[in-house]
Amino acid sequence: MDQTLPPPVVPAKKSIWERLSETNWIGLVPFFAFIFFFLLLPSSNLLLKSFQDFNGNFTLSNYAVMQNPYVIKAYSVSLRVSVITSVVGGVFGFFVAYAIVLGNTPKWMRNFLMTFSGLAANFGGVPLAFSYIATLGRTGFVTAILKSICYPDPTGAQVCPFNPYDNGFNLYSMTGLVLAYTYFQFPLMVLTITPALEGLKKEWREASANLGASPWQYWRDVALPILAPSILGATLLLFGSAFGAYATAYALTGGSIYLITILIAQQIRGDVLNNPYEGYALAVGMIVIMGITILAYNVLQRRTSRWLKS
Amino acid sequence: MSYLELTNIHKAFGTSVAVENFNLSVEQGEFISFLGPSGCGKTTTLRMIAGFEIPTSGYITINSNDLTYLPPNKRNVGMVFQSYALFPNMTVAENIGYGLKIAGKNKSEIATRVEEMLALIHLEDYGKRYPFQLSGGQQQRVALARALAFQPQVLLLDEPLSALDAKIRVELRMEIRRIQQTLGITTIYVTHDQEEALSLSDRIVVMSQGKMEQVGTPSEIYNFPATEFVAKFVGQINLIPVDAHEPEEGLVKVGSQVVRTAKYEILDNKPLRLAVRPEELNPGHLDGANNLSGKVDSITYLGSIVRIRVDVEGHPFSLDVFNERKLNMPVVGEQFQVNFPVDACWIL
Ligand SMILES: Nc1ncnc2c1ncn2[C@@H]1O[C@H](COP(=O)(O)OP(=O)(O)OP(=O)(O)O)[C@@H](O)[C@H]1O
Ligand SMILES: [Mg+2]
Repeated sequence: MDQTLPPPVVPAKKSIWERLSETNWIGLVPFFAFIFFFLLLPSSNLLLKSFQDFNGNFTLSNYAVMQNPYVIKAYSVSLRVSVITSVVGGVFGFFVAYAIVLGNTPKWMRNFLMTFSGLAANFGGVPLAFSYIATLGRTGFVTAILKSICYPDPTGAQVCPFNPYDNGFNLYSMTGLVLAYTYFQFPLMVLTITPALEGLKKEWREASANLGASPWQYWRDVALPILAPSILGATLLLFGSAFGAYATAYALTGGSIYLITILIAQQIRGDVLNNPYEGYALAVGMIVIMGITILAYNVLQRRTSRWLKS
Repeated sequence: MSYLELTNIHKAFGTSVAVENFNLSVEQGEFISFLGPSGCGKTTTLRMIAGFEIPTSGYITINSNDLTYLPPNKRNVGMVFQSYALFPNMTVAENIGYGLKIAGKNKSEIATRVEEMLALIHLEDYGKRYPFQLSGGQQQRVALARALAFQPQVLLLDEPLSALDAKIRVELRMEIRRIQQTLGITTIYVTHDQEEALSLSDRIVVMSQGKMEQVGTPSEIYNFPATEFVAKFVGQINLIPVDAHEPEEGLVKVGSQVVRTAKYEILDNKPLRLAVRPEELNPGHLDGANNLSGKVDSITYLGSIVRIRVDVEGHPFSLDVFNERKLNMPVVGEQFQVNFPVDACWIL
């Protein structure tokens, strides 16, 4: 066979200016400006200051604060609260989203839950703390109702066994904090995971059943692996939102629980250790923890999403 | 008793009836198509066999085992979906082996079987790929292999080719037939494409509005449609209102011209219609055949054939002729003679 092939078409090389001018990069300018002014600038400023003393000289001594037992405690309390609330809120939110998408939830109920989630996920800080205090605080109205349920015991004496504060509950504590955080964590999970659940195709479930799989095997082998990247991402979001939260905790517990954010605020205001530069070091510590978390997330994400179109 | 039996199947969704009075016996190794327009209940019937829907009444047996109420994962019936429905998180090999893994087969057995299936669908080197790395046609072949790997009793396919483009569709449909015959697996194939049904099936079930219209071989369905619906739905047909002439002799009148057909009966008030396929009509006069004369109404080129519409006393007859270069085409408005064999037409 004697075939002459046409010469291969070589695309002409374009100069960088040509390429820049043909992309729609202009639209990204506000985004990058935002990132620069509100993320990169403050955090590099933070980083710089954490290595300075009062006179502006370089020092490592600010980081010695990391050895302070208060600081260690604050980090660990913050981590604990964040992990617990992101897991509790994540699991609870997942099941609510599951009910919304895959259960036979009536339409009006779905709409209500989604709207509620949108609102609740953004309901934090002092108003949230105050709502909790007004309902479950020592004189909150739910507490009052529970307290007032009284009846005579077998000996004839009047007992009121439902007062939560007699049963070990205390809103101004770790439990209260977890409760309050869960209030915005689970709707956040609902909002972020609902689209992923909606992406599960009915045919996948049917195909797996057709191949002999039980519903449980379908979830283990198909649905959860497919959802894994989204679940991971959503949980990270919850972790971040809890880790960085400040006002809710401060308003609720009045600073009696030391979260790292509360400690930093006090440090920078000069209440306790009187050294804002150590506060900067503590903040850098938080950034490092978030960084490690995001790194771990990336590794996991890559492992759970090999099969995704890149 | 046949291998697969559907007996008095009835299915309603709320008040709307999707399938009614459906009776079908399928022999082992048979290839059956459900053919019908959108919404006629093909998918619903298939899904009842797969166990995704429960009949409102009636029962389904395979190999004399009643599985009407069995959950889908206990049925041992393979299904191929229109949208492929491959698990995106599993490789091709894992997809194909999934049914075997669930059945608790050991790893080497699964691997051997997966190799066999990959060879069967000619995708030997694709085992490690993920579904998104395959074309639509390749994905559907994998879905077919997945549905066959665990050796189901029956294979069900719901419009498996309709998401693919025309060329792949023809290629893959021959593949499906080849694989079905190699394995000798009893198969039900849902389609609204008559060409697919005619070219693939041992028998075709033509459905309309939840009811079976006719069951028969492709040739029976095409050449001897039992109802007007079948005649119209499968292939092209001329359905011409005629007047009774001599029923015992099989004579009818088209306008003033007499046509001979098989003996027919006059049922009160039922209008008579003469049915004849366009390809049975020929130009010109032929002794011993039915002859009609009319005027050329229009001429349409359809590629390899040309369709000529002839107006016979107000009744439009279409006739198809092969598009040969030497053919002398009539002119629109011209007088035109057509003839067709007496046994090529019937009364509906
Ligand atoms: N889950 C359901 N709920 C209510 N009605 C349904 C349901 N599934 C099917 N139907 C109705 O039953 C009838 C038959 O539907 P079916 O899907 O079996 O049709 P089909 O022949 O497969 O059509 P197509 O060629 O469009 O796929 C339709 O009128 C459809 O609207
Ligand atoms: Mg269908």
